[in-house]
Amino acid sequence: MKRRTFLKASGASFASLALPLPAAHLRSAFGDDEPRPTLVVVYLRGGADPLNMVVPYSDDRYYELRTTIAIPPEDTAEGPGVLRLDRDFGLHPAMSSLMPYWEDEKLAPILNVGSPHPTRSHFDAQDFMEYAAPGMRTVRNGWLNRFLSASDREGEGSDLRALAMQGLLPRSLRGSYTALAVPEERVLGDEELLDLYGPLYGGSGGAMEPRREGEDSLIDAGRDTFETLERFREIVGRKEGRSRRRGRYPDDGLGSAMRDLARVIRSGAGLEVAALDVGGWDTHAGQGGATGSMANRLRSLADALAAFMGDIGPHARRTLVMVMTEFGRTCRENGNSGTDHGHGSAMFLLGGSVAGGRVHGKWTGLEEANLYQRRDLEVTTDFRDVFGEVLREHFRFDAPKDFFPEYSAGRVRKLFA
Amino acid sequence: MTPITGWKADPGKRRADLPPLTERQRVVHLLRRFSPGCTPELVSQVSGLGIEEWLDRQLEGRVEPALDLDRRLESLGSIGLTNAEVFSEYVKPIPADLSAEERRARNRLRNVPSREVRDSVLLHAVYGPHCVLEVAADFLRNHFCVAVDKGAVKYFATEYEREVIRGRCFGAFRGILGASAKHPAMLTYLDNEVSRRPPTKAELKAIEMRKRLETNSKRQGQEASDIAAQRGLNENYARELLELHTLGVDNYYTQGDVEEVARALTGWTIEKGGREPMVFKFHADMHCGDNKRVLHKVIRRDWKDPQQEGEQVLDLLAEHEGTADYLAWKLCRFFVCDDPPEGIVRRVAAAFRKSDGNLAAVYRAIATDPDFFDPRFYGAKFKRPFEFVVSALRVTRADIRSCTGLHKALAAMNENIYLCKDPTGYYDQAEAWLDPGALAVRWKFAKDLVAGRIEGVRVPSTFYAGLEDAREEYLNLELVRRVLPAGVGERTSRVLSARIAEHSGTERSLRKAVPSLVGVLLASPEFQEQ
Repeated sequence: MKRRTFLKASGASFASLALPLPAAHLRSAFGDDEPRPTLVVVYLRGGADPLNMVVPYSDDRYYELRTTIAIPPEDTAEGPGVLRLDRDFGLHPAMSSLMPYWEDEKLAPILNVGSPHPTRSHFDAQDFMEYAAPGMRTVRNGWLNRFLSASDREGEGSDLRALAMQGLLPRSLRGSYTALAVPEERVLGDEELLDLYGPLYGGSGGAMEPRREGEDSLIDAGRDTFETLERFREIVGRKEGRSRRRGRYPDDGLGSAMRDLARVIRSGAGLEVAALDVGGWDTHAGQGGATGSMANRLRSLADALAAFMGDIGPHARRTLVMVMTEFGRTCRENGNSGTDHGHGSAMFLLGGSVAGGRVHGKWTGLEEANLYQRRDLEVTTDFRDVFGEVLREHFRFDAPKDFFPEYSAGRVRKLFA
Repeated sequence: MTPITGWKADPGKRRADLPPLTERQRVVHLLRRFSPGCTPELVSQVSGLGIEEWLDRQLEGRVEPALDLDRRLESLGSIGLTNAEVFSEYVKPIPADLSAEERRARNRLRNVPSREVRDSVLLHAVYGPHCVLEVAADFLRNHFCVAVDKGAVKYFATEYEREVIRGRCFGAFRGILGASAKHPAMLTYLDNEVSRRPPTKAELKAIEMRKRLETNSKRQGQEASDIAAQRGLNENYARELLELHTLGVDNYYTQGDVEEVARALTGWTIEKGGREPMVFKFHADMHCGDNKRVLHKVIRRDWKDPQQEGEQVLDLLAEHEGTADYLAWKLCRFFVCDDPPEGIVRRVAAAFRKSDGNLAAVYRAIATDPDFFDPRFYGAKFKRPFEFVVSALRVTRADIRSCTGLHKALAAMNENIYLCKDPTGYYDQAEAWLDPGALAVRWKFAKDLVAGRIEGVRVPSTFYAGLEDAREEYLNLELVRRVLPAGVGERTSRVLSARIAEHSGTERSLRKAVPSLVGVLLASPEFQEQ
C-alpha cells in the first residue's frame, strides 16, 4: 500500500528515499515463521527535562542548580528520593514501576542524547527529529516511514505494519508508506461507515475500484482509510478482547492507548512500528520535584509502559519501546520553579534485546564550562545514532547510505545485548 | 520557510489545462475562503451584490445583525464579562471546611466561563453574519494561540476572545500584537507574567535576614535566599513572539535576541489585587533596568517609563520587513493554498507595509489579487476539522441547542477549540490533517449529524422539507445545490444517484432516505475541500 500522490508535488531532494529499496537491507535473521519485531516509539512532546528523569544525584552541582525542583538523593520526611540506578544516577521516584525492568536488565537510559542543530523551537526540533534530518526542511518523509518503505517486502508479511495510536499520524510516520492513524473506539466500532461512504472514495463491497491516474491525495487517503480500517478490524477482531481489562494501566489517554496497542501486538498481526505522543513536558513553571506536575506525568508514563510490557507477555521479547523528546531543558531551574528550553536530553529503551541495567551515553557533567552554551546539557550521542542502532540491532536492518540525509549514523556501543 | 507539500497533484501541471473560473465559480471560491460555509443563500447574495461590494460591506461591518445568533448567545452568561467580573462571579474560594457537595458546585462554576467561550466560538462561526470576520478570527485565534487548560487562562479566555481576537480582527497588526502581549490570557499562557530580573545581592541579603529573624535559623535564611536567587527571566513568551507571532522561526533573530526581548518585557505582568484586578500591569520592580540590544538595535533604558522598552520591541517587530513577509505568507497559506506562489505573497506583503499592517487592507489585497482566482486554487484547500464541522452545520442550517456533542466531535478530530497543545495554533495545511483513518472520523460525524445523533444538535425538518418535495429526477441536483454549491464530481454524483435509486420504491421510503443522502454529500471528498 503506497500513498502515491502525496509526495508527488514536493519535488523534495530526498523524495527518492520513499522508493522501496531492495529488501536486501534486511538481514535474514528472522525465519519465515518467526514474527517480526515491533518498535513502539513514545514521543514526549515539549522537551522533557532529562535531569529530573535520570537524576545525577551524586553531583552537588545538580543541587546547586536546582534549589526547589531537585530530587533528593534519599527519601526524606518531605517525600521520596531517587531510585538509585548506580553510584551516580537515579530514576525519578515516580517511575518506580519501571524498576523491575531495570533490575531485569531490560531498561536502558541513554544520557546526553540529542540533535546537533541548535534550535530551541519545539516545532522545528520535533520536525528535525521525526524526519531524522536536523536543519533540512525539504525532507518530508518521516524516518519511520522511510524504514517501512525500505524494508517493505511486497507480498510478504503483514499489511498492518504501522499504526499511530491516536487520531493523527506523528510526522515520523508520515510519508509515502501507508500507516494508519487509529481513530477512537466509537468510530472504529461503527461498521456501517465503510459501506455507506467507502464508494465515494472508490470502495465498493469490500473491494476497491482500480486507482485512476491523477487522483488526488484526498481520494488516496479515503482509500487508505477504507482498506486499513477494514484490515485493522479483521486482524484485531471486531469485538474479541475489547472489554478485557488486563494490567494496571493508568486511567488516562496514554493508559488506554497502550492497552489497545497491547491488544494489537497480542493478536500477532505482524505490527512492526507503533507511535504515540504524550504531551505536557514543556515545564516552564511549577515543574515540581519528587512530587508535582512532572512527577504525575512520569508516573503515568512509567505505569503505562510497565503495564504494557506485562500485558504483551511472550511478545515482550521482540518488542522494544523507545521513549524520546525533542530537546532537554536548562540545567539551572528558572525563576518559576521550572526549566526553559535546553539542548541535550535523555532517551529510554525498554524491552527487546536491549542491554539494560546500565546507564548509557557519555555524561559530561554539570560544570558550567562543560555545558552547551554554558546552560544546557551537551549532546554527546546524536539521536540518529540511536535510531540507526535500533534499526540495526532490533530489526536487523542496515540503514542504506543516505537513509539519514547527509549523515552516516555512528554506533552506540553496547546498547544491545 | 518550511516548504509545504501541496495535497493536490502537481499544481504546476494543472494550470495549462484549466479554463479561468466562471463568474459563479469566483463567487463560490470567495465564499469557500472568506466565509465559514458556502451556502446557496450566500452564493445568491454575493452574486447579487458583486464580489467587491460584498467584501466592502463585510470589511466595514455593514452587515445585518443576526437575531438568531444573539438569541443563542444570550444563555451564555459569562461571555460579555471582563476578567475581573469572571473572577468575582465564577471563581468562588473553596475553603477547606466546605462540604463535598458545595466544593463540587464551586468547581463546576469555575469551569463555566471556559466552556461558554468555547461555545461562543462555535455559535459565532455557525450563525454569525460577519463572514469575513469569522474566518479572520479563526486565523488569528490560531496565530495568537492560547489554551484554556493552562492555569488561569480559563478565566481570561472570555475577554481575550472578545477584546483581542474578535475585537481586533480588522485593525492594525500592531494593535492585536500589543493587546495579546498585554492580555492576562497570553501573559499566563506563555509565562511572561512571572518573568523578572534576577534579584540583586542586596535584595538577596534582605530576604536572608528577614527569614533568619522570622525562623531564627541561619540555614533557613540561606535557603530562602538561594531560592530567591533562582528567580528570573522566562523566555517562553519572547521566543514565541519572535518565532510564531512576528518574524517566523529563525528568521532574523538569534537566541541572544530571544533573551534580550525577554529582558525588555520583564515586568509585563498581571495586577492580581487592588481595586482593578486581573488587568495588565507593568511592575517596575521586576523589570531589568538597563539597555537592551534587539535585532541589532539598541533599546535604551527608559528611566521615566520602563514599560516603553517593551513597547519599542513590539514597534520594532510590527514594523520589521520580516513580519510583513511572514504574515503575508501565512495568510496566503490560509486563504489561497498550502504552498502559495511568491508573487501573491510579495504583493500581500507590500499591502501589509503600505497600510502599516492594517489587517482589513491585507485581507482585501488577498481577495482582490488576480492570483487568488487562479483556477489551480479552486477547491485546493483541505478543510480543517473546525472548518468541516462549521460548514456542515451551516449548509444544513443545524439547530444547536448545546455545543457539548460538537466539542466532543472536534476533540475526536484533534481540533478542540481553545485547547491546542502547542502555541503554534492548529495548522491549516492538508499535510497536518489528511491521514488515513482521520477521514473515518468525518464520515462518522456526517452520519451522526443527519441521524440526529450528535448531542444537542439537530438538522431541522424545515431543511429537509424542501428536499423531500423535490421530484425524484431532480433530487440529485437539488441535494447538491443545497449542500455543495460548488458541485460534485462524477463518482459522487453516481453514488448519490445509486442511493436514490435504492430508496425510490415508494415516495415514503425516498422521503425517509433524504437525511442519509445529505450525509453522503457531507462525507464526500468534495465537501472536504474548499
